Amino acid sequence: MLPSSQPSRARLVALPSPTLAQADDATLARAASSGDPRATSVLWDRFSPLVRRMLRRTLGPTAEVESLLQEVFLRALRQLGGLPESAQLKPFVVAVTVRVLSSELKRNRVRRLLRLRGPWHSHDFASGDPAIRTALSSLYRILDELDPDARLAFTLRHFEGLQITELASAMDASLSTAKRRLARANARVQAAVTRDAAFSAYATAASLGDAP
Amino acid sequence: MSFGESDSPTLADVEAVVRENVSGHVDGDRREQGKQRLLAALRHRRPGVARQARRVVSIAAALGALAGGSAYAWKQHSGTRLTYDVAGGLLSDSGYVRSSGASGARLTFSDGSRVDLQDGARARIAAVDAHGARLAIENGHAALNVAHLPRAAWYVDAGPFVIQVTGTQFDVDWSSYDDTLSVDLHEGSLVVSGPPAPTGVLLRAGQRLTAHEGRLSIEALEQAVQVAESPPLDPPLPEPDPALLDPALTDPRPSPSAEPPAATAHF
Repeated sequence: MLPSSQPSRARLVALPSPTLAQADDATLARAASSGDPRATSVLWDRFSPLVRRMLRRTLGPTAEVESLLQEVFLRALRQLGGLPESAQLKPFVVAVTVRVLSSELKRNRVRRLLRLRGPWHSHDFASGDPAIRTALSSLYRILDELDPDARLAFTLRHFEGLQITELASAMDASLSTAKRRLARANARVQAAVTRDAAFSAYATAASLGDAP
Repeated sequence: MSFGESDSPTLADVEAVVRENVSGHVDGDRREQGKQRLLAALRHRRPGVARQARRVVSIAAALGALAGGSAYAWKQHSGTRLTYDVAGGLLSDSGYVRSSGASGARLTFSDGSRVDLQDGARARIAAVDAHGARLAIENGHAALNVAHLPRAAWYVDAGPFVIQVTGTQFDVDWSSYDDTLSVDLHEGSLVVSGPPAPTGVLLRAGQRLTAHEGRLSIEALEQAVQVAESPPLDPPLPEPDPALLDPALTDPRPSPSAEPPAATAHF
């Protein structure tokens, strides 16, 4: 440890430059694609909460989320150089996240088939309320039954609130394909949650005000 | 929470339970660690690597298809994440580890890596995959012996600092009370990044890194031990070793010719 007689110095913390922190998307994209670490820092501050939320809500709280978050940013930074001047960053980042999610959902499907990944349990979820943990584990077991495209369509529409046109664009699919995937997912999830005793009990208790 | 009014759950119920309970929020330290990890990955990335990687993946896929069932079984095995067990300590479902006796706790991973937590030390296993783990030292002293295997990737978080490890033996001491980090490296090399060194600092075998109050210093481990055992001296500080300031040297591969510095370098 350092001797106590040494004068203490103020800690230096690198803050994003005000110019870049307030820069428009095109300027930020140019700076980040040229390798400016300050721009990378601003991109991270601006978009990592959104990307982490999408990953968590789509996949469930897996240990891989932080690694996938890194992968999203590495891919996005690699592709930023080819982004048109007029393009907005948020839809671009969402689209990159969707591609990473799509690959991960396909890998997870194989892992489950090979029994490398077990079903969800209530202790996998961090909520302090056991009823919420049980409802979430039931729901993610249901989502695991969907094919990756239908699951993505469902989570983007219902958990992230994307419009159907945004959804189609993020999934690089036609409008009719996106609608078809979403309709398929809606029908399967609706039927499954109705059949699921744990989720039904929680939803009923919540509608009566017994749950938070 | 607003839920549908009918007896059967609706899609609005599904939306509500997820939107209200699954967020993207993490504390500031964890957000900063993620950023530092990204910046470190970008520094180590070389131009053209992605294209080379894609080519290698294509060739590997073709070879994999030819190899048939045995290669498939091997890939299955290699993709399995590491397992671990704890002796002399308590492990919670969330990966929180705390020693339960005076002799401390030992974490043993399936790749042969070991982490010894000294009595009173607290840590959390934040993530485990096929090639390593991410361990957060919340407070206290830990001795790590990370197996040197191909593609090994281990990370140790201590407050705002991230230690990037491939295969090595080192001691970490993190005090959350006065935000002081000390790393003694016995074998191999590792990279430490944090607020005083956002671009990362390479540490080689036989060196000690100390970070406190926004200041970071590296000194030879033997010298540090001698100083600790002899009466305190106050020698003039030498110029920083320029090699340690060169970001190009943050490549964690050990250099056979590397000698520990004879004196202390301050950042």
